[in-house]
Amino acid sequence: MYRVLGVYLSNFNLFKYEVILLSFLSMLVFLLISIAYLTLLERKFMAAIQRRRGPNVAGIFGLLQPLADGIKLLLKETIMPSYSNIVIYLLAPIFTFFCSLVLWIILPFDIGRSLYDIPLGILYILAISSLSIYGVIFSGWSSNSKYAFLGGLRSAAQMISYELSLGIIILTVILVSGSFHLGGIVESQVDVFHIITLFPLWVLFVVCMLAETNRAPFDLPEAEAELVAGFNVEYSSIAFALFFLGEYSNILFMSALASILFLGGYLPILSFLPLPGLFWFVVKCIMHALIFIWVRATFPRFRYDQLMKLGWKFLLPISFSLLILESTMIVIFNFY
Amino acid sequence: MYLYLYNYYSGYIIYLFPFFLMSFGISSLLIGIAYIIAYQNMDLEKTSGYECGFDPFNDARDPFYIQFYIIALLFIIFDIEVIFFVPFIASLPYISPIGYYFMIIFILLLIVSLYHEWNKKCIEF
Repeated sequence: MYRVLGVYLSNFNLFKYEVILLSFLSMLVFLLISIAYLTLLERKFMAAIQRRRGPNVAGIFGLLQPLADGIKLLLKETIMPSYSNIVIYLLAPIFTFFCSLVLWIILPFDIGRSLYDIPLGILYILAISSLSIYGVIFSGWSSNSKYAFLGGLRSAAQMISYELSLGIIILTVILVSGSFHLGGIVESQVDVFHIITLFPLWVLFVVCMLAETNRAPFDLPEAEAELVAGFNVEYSSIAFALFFLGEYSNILFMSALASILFLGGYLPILSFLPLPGLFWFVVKCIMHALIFIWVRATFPRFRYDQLMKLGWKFLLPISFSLLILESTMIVIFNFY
Repeated sequence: MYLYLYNYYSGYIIYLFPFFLMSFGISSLLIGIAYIIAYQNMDLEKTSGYECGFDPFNDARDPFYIQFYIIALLFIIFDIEVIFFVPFIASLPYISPIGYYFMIIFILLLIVSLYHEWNKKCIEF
């Protein structure tokens, strides 16, 4: 059954609009479900760390809690502040969610199994994740509130600072694996995963992905004591939910990208088990997503100048020097 | 080196466009649905900007700290230079050692300029 479905899916005719619509809707539905249960996982995991129970009233083990939250947000009224620029104000959450959805199109979930496969997938990811900064800037500027404005500025400065190191780290991984194609990067790790050969890069990547998704300990834009909720103070209802979904979708995507770049994506860890590649991919994604939650429950927040110091004075020189090191090693030993 | 089968249509970025359209459409649709099905009851206090209990004094588009602007300028310079790495990385197996030496000189210049900016206190907050 699995193989038959696989053959059918691999013969997709992308000119047929019902096929495009069906594949997109299936991606959307499963993405929304996984985001919803990622929030529940986060609350349960943090509760376990802090010796609490977490949500346990709505449904068994609180399994209905994400749905209840979603319906509550859907039924709230959409507040548009009278001093704001309404068009940009409404465009910002749409754009944020758009950027986080569009990233998932090219991700290979199994061998040759992605919604749309492009050979230069990494460049596409870099381009779209740069665009997602605009959502933050639009919302911060157009809300016309001081909290939102300062939060947007801080958040944008933080994201662009860490994007440099993130780009150089990704390019170093491409240098070693010799392919800009996500499937090709996975295939290059058949012998040994990159996390073993490029362990320092993985550590840097984890730091950068925490900062890039504005998560703790780098959650400066939502520092509650200074800026109430950062760039999305003024938003309510589904407009807020779109920011929220975008953030969690980005967390899942960064986990997926880290597992593709360093943990071999859909390649099996224990190859004697008869499990599909999708299973291993999901396991690696969840391991990275748990790192996000674990760090959030463990570390205190950085100060803003420390954050910038870490980004520009430590990560950037280290990633430059690792790029020089890897390219020199490749030229000397002629790995290709 | 790696045998990988592309789809027939892969590589044509234009076929991503329907996905873009649908992503944008679904996000707009969600906001539209919420606006329609939720009970909207606006008043002046609800639509005023968020402050700690008082009306906002003036527009929030104030001048801001210059350091954010400098960081943005630095980002543009460094990001363009990161883009310069992309062809280098794609062609490293094919270029002679001369090309590699030039690229090393380029990266070293980049690091020297980073330390120059550090020394000029451009990245202090």
